[in-house]
Amino acid sequence: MKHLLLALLLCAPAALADVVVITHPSGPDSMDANQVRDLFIGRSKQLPNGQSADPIDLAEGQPLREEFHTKVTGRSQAQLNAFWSKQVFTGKGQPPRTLDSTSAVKAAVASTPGAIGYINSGEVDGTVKVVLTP
Amino acid sequence: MIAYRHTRVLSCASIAALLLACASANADDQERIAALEQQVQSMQQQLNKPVDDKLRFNGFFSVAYGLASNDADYAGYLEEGTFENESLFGLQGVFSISDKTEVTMQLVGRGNEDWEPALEWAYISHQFTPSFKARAGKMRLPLFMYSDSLEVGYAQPWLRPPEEVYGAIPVTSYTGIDGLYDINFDMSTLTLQAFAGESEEDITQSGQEVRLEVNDLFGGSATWTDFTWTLRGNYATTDISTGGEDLATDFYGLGFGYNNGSLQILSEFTRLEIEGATPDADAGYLTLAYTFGSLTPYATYSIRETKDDDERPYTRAFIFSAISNPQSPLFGNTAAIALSDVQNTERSAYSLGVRWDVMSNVALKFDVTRASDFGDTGGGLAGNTAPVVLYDDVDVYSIKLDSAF
Repeated sequence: MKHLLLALLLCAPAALADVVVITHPSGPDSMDANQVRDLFIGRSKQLPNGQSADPIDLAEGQPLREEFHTKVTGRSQAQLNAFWSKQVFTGKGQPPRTLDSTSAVKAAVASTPGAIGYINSGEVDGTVKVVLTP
Repeated sequence: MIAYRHTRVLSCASIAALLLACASANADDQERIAALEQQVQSMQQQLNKPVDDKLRFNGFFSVAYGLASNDADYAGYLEEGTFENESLFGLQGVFSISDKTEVTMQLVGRGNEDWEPALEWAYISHQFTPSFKARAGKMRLPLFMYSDSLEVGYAQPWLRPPEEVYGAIPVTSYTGIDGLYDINFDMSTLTLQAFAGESEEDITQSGQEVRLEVNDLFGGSATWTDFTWTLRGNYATTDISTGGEDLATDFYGLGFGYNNGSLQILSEFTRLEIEGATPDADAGYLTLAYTFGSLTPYATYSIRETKDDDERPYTRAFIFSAISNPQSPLFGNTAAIALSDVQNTERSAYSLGVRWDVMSNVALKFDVTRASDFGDTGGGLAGNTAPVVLYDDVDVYSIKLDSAF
């Protein structure tokens, strides 16, 4: 385990950075925080360029998830859970799908037109497009 | 389980790849391995995707214990404590028939009904356009802000919705149709709902079990929200009957909500008007809640007052002596109790409580509620329907575990 941590540290020197919202390269050029929020609370289903949206959240317990929601939806994890239980049991919608790591989010967003997610700014490369730095 | 094992194996493979990448320290190799890694992760993600999203199941569960300072019967609690009164479970299945058509069913089993599951929702919905959806079947009667998630305690800040407003309407669902129309503004949404239907339910009225028929039910609601502020107005009209004549009934509701992530303010006012001696009542509440990490303490003040006391001119003392007097024309006619001031209500309630989000999807709640200020009425409480008013106030202490999964 120690070796693995060491390896990760050496390989990913810029892992600690601000959260950025990313889309597939075919996504819109930029979005505002309210547009992103509306996608992650299920109020809108389309990206501003008309693509059908596939929002991807990080799984619970990931620190970047809290940072994203503090900045974009303004809700704590407990309040988000309460919000989604209300939506689910009133037939209004399901929460976005979740993935376990930012690298999995990046890979999914890079390969899915319409996908929108968030990762550390240090992980950004040409496979995804940054649409918002909240 | 199989998908999980795959994930483990694949994770080990990617860790190995990562370690190799570091060892060789060759930039080209690293890039290729990173690309491979992404492919592996994308495959992982496909493996982890639910095989069949045509069918989704969700559930909720609450277990509560409470007791009261006396037997006035507030929110179903007596001096002797009980687990059964507010404990319940719900299971919901949503079946997608097509992209736009779904069937939703929700079974709820309640402790105070011997845990016998009853169908609470059973409807088919169709999304005609992105902004218009219609539903048909059995649905919640949308009289209040929290009607739709009435029994999903986990979705609510309180241990129980304010009893003065939510506790007095015995009908919580109806069978019929509704339409929901969303109007999207730049930063907010207005949802218009119209519904029509009917309902039949066994209820307890002045201590007696009666069959309540709700016919020709029509109504609508308008809800505007920008995620921080919520405003709601609703109206319903119907003819109700408990075996006798039809009574024209109207219901009005106004709701307000504010939630900035820490501070929550909730308030509703309702007015019920029923033809004849059946009580008309105004009710309202104001809740303030504030989130500190995993703790959300709240305080609620609520009121309920009947507005047509002049339609029930007889005192309870007079009616009770008349129905027990063989010489009286009212002898044995217990229905006459409904014409007395037994049904008059004046009541305020003060609640202090806290919601503690113990872990993801589990909340533990504590609540102390004092109901008082009954004036010269019995406070509209079932334990206060005796020939004399026995209780001037009541305290209820409750603890509840709410979960959604």
